[in-house]
Amino acid sequence: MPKIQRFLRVIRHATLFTGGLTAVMACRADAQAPASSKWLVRADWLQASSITLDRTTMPSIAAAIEWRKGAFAVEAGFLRAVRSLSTIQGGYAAIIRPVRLGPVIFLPGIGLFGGQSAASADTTGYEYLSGGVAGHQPRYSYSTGSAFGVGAQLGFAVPIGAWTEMRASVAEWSFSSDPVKGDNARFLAGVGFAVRVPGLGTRTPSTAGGK
Amino acid sequence: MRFINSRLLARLAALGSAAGLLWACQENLLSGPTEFGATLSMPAWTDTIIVGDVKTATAKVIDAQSREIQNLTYHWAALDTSLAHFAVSATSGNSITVTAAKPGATTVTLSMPDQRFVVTSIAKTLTVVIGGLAVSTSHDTTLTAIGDTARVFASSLVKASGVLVSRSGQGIKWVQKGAGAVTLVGTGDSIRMIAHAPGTDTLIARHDYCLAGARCADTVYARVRQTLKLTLSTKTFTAWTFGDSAGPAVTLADRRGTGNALATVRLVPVTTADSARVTLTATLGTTVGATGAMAVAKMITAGNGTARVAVVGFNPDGSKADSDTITYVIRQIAVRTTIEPLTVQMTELDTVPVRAAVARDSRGYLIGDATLTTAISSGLDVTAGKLTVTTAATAFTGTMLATVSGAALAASNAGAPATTLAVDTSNVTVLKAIRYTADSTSRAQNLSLTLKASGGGLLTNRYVRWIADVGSLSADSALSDASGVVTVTWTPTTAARRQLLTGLLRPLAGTTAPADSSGYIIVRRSVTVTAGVAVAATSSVAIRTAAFTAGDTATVTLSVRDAVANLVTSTVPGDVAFVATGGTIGTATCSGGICTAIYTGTTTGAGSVTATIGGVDVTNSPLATTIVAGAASKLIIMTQPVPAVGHNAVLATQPVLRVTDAYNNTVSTSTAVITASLNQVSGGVTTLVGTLNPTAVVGTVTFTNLQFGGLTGTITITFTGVDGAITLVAATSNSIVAP
Repeated sequence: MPKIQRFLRVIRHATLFTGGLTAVMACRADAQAPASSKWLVRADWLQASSITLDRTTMPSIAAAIEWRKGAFAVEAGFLRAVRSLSTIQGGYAAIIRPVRLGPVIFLPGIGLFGGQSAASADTTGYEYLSGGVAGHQPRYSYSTGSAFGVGAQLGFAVPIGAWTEMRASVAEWSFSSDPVKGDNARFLAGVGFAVRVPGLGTRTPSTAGGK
Repeated sequence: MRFINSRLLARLAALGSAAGLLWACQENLLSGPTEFGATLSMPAWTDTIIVGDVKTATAKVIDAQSREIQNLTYHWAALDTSLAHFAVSATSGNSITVTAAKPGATTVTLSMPDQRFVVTSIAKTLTVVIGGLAVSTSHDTTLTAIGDTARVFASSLVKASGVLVSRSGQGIKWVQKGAGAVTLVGTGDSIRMIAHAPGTDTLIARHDYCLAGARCADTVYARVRQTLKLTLSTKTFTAWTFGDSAGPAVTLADRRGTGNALATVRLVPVTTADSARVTLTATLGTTVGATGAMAVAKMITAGNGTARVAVVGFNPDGSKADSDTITYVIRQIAVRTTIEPLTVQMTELDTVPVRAAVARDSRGYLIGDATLTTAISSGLDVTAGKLTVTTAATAFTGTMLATVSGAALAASNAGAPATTLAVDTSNVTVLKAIRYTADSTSRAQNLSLTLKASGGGLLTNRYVRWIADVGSLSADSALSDASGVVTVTWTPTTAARRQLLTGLLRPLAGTTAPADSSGYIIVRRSVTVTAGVAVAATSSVAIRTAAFTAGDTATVTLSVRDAVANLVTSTVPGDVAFVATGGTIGTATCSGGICTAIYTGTTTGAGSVTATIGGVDVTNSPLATTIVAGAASKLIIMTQPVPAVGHNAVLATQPVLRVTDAYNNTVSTSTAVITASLNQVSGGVTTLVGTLNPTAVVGTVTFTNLQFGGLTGTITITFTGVDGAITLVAATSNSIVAP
């Protein structure tokens, strides 16, 4: 586990770095941005960063419509960050600076989030001794509230064919919400896919491969 | 990829989003539980603790899974927070220390105000007790004066540093039992008691909250026993007479001046000699408890000397409280000497008892140790208390008096009051003897006497009792008149004797103590009456018995009297004569008017004794007597035998004999057997034949057929006989010549 955490920490830092880099690159997006535009619908499963989930619910996901045009892309969609004791979900919008390196399109971006959060907190449980062994009896309090957040993400997309892309992404979101106060950062990692919406935007399948 | 309809994809996306949202509604986030079931318990708890003790109490909560819940906050609350203090342990949140502050009982509630848990609070009774109780002052406090105070301390035993120590202020209660000897002031550990009345109270210190089995009560005896001190107003007294009474004012009180109504004081002469010097009155006055003034007897002087009298105060219980001694110096001072009787009238032949000369003090009491010297006129003598006349040629008047000297004189005692000694002189009138004969006709004696009182005055209005052994008195007593004169007429009888009149001065009515105030003789007048001429008519003769057996004697007594029957003591044998018949009369002797002679009866039949004075039979003369024969004694031949003419013939005259007593009186009752025997005087041998052993008949023996036989000779016949056990004196006939 320490290795995994270390790895995730590295990934998170890299994501933040990517966010910052995206902002910088956004200012200089003129040369690298693809010239054509297209619409994508994508869906990501983002529970990889928190595989263990002690409840039955929909895992962390993201679903968005992305519009790429030139060197930038924007996307808006639904983001859900699920942990065992909390759920933050809502809409978000992000600006992305796609960078193609070979067959892989890097999609660093930053975004804003607005939605709600719900969390359970074991704040009133109690400790006990049983047979000389200490234990804890949890007692959860459930709360909901609005949530706002900012995040940085780094996606990796590999076009498969002209219409789809396989994706992997990591993102680091920081939320402002009472239910998750004190535990307001969420690192999301996962995989997904994107489907190009036909009939919307310029058809530039070759662009996906880069020139 | 043209065949992919973008619209379809959008629809799919929208559908997917809706499904996702729907899925998202089922968050299944954990919540609750709202509360837990649990059980609150007190594993460590002590219901009863001693003040000062620190005990640990613990609480525990077990959840539904029998797990002990940790890190809880408990709430301990006591209904009366003043009894015990609770302090949460610094190391364990579920334990507290309970520090007992003061005794009592309260309810302690353990609760756990944690909304997460549903528990039932626990209520326990906490009893805070003391470990014991002790009276720390003396258990026997005695107050010695009313109003005295004392303080009694009691303390509770509480714990301090693990050991029991005494501590005050723990709610001790006192119970007072008893007669209320003390008044209690205050409550609690320290009370003050004030002596209220003699007695004993029991003070019990107790506590309502005391460790079971511990000493939870202690007893103090509060006694009020007054220490009474005796105070005498005077300790020394002096008296110059007997009968004087004196005594000190006595106070028997404690040091605060309070007495006791039940206390007593007695006066006790120290020695037997002291008891003889003073006597005591009954207790006088009233004992006043508030001041200690005591009712006490007084001393009455009764003996000369220094009397020591102990004054003893007694507590109500009879024990001795205090004592002191007083001294009573008693010295009688003579104010008068007296020889009683002060007036005497006596004839020369008489004696009058005289009391020894006495000296008296001013109260009239005799002075026993006075030195007295008696002076008696010549012609008088006092020996062994009897006044006699030694010389009585003529009637005369004498005196007796006494003087005193020595310690009984005032001059011999410093401080004694100046006193003049008065001497009472006794006047003695001596009369010549009075004599007359019984036939005198002027025997009356008129007596007049002037009574003399002590001090020389006349004794008036005093009775004199007249006592005559014979004779008559004009009155039994006489009251002295204003001149002190008493009179009486005494007529002696004709009895020839010395007759006596006594005058007895009666005791003075109301006179007490002086022992010599009893009556005494002031008159002794005797008259000697002598008998007149002997007169046969008043004289009489008597004999002891009139029946005699021959030989018996009896005294014949002749009382020779005068005309009034006085024995004529001067009678001599020649003045009287006795003549006897049937017997003999002896020589007469006379003494005191009684003449006697012995009469002896000798001849059977009637006899007599005749007594005459001047040839005249006296009364009872002659005295008749009867004489009977005595016992058979001898034989008398009444008829001598006469022989017949012829040889061997019956005697011509047969002998006849009588059986007689010693005085020849025929014993007619005799049945003696007589035996005739022949005595050969001379000649041949003659025999006597016939009935030789006849029996007496009516005292007479008659032979009927005696005859001689044998040869002719001279003989006598001897008659012998036996009457019962008596052998009769034999009789012998005259000599007879037998033919």
